[in-house]
Amino acid sequence: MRPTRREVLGGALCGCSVLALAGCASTPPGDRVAPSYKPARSSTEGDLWAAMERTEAELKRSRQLVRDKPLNAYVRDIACRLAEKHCGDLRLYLLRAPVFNAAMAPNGMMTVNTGLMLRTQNEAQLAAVLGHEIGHYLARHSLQRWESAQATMTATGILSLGLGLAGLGAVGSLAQIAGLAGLQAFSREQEHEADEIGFELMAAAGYRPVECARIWEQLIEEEKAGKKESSAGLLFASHPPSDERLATLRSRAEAIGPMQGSPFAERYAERMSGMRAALFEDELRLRQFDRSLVLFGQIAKAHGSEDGELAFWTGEVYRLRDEAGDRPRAREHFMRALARADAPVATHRSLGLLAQREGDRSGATAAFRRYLELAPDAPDREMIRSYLRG
Amino acid sequence: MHRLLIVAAILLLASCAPWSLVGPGRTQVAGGKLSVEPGIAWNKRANIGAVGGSDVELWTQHGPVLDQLVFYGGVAPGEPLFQGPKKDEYPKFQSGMSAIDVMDLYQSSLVKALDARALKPHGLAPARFAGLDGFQFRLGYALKDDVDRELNAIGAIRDGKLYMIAWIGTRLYHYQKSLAEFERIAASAQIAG
Repeated sequence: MRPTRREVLGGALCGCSVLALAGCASTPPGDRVAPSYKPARSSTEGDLWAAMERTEAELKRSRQLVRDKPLNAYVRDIACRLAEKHCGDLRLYLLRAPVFNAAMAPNGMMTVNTGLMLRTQNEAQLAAVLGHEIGHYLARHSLQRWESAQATMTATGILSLGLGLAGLGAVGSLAQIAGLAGLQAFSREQEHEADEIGFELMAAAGYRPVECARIWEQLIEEEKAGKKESSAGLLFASHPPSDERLATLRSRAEAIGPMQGSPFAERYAERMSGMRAALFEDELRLRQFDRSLVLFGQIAKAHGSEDGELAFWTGEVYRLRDEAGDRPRAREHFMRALARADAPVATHRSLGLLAQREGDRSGATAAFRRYLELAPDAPDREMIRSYLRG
Repeated sequence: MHRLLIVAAILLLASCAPWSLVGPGRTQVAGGKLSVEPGIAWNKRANIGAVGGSDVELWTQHGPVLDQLVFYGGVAPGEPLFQGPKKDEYPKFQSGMSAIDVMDLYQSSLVKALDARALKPHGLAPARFAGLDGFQFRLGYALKDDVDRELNAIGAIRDGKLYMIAWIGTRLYHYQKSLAEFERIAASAQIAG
């Protein structure tokens, strides 16, 4: 019989609660953090918290922070539904970064990248990832790694480890991801334990269990498509989803009824709608075309159909990649987008650019004219007018 | 003997110094592919690291973290705008690109090479550059240091190659400080040959 959420979180109350005021001298595996817990400043754990607090102070000033209050509140509500009594200890930061990443630092700082939110197809999938990270937090895995590293690493190494443990690799250069993923990587046992806690929290909060395996399956599919491109993200690199992990997640879902609960797909789509175009734009800037095509296909499949916005961005992938056969594919997607009421205005501009590249002057003129009619204040209007003048 | 060694060491260091003064007055830049006429003296970087290549040159007034004037002397199809250890992964300039494509390419390069964030395109318009019909675009962005920057780039494509000058400075001070000098240099640009 699977434990209830109360039992899962009950496990989290054991261990350090008696020593909470004094701080824990050592951290045996299986130890759980208690709600409102704060370590003694002079302890090893206190050092780790101090490092995390410095990072958090910087994070608060970051130009990557998404300051959309309703969206922040929405994601925080999901995290709180999972973390329950630990909700008050959790501080959420949404980061506008196109890399798949989320993390929860030992001091309660939780970061979620928009690159992750583009890839989770519903609220249940986002809850699965957040639940997993809360699992690492409850089980104090960072502290275990911090303690074992203190004895062997240099000061610089420890500082880097601190950033890695804060899950902030993606705040740094994309090029550093592989290195930081190594620092952030947890052991197989820790991953297993975080999976277990996350899965239970997610199921107990009413989310459909099978989505927990699906998010990793989607990422594996994307990773395979993008083999020649850079990694899907820090979280993928630091949490490699092995076949064994997937099989365990699937069998757990089977055991409790994989289709119970809800994926909350419509609610997720509705709350994300305001940011969707920006996230597609961020994805396109990475120029990881093969990966993006798989991702956009997954989004279309999850939603049951391709909407005008998705058709436009898929067309953009083909237009920008511009390999043999891509121009007709791009055109077809732009036309499909324009057949729907939710096609972005920029579809006309892209059709014009495509026609211009192919030497189709009348086609380009018609598309650019339509673009300027619909977007007379576009920032590139002067350039488009110059194309019309020829 | 001891003094001679010190002098030799200083001379050796001076010959390796990455910075030298350039201007005022007409001068060749970007491997001799462009010439411009600055009104004041600039610091020229010999080896420009992340933004490099034989036909790219970097000047600055207050140090490259605060401001940069970057000259592109004919980027060929298949070449990235930025250099770096992972330049093979950076987006490449392609033949047939429009001004809109070049602006997109620049933004994508900033993200891939420098992890730029908070990108905000301000505008794109036709402009004359080195006697050619070209383009000018402006955008805002921040880097990992979370300092807001402004960029103003003017350029044109000739014989399938991209010629461009980009002025970048902190939004708070350095961008405005030398904007007029950038405009003077941009207006004086000539393509060699």
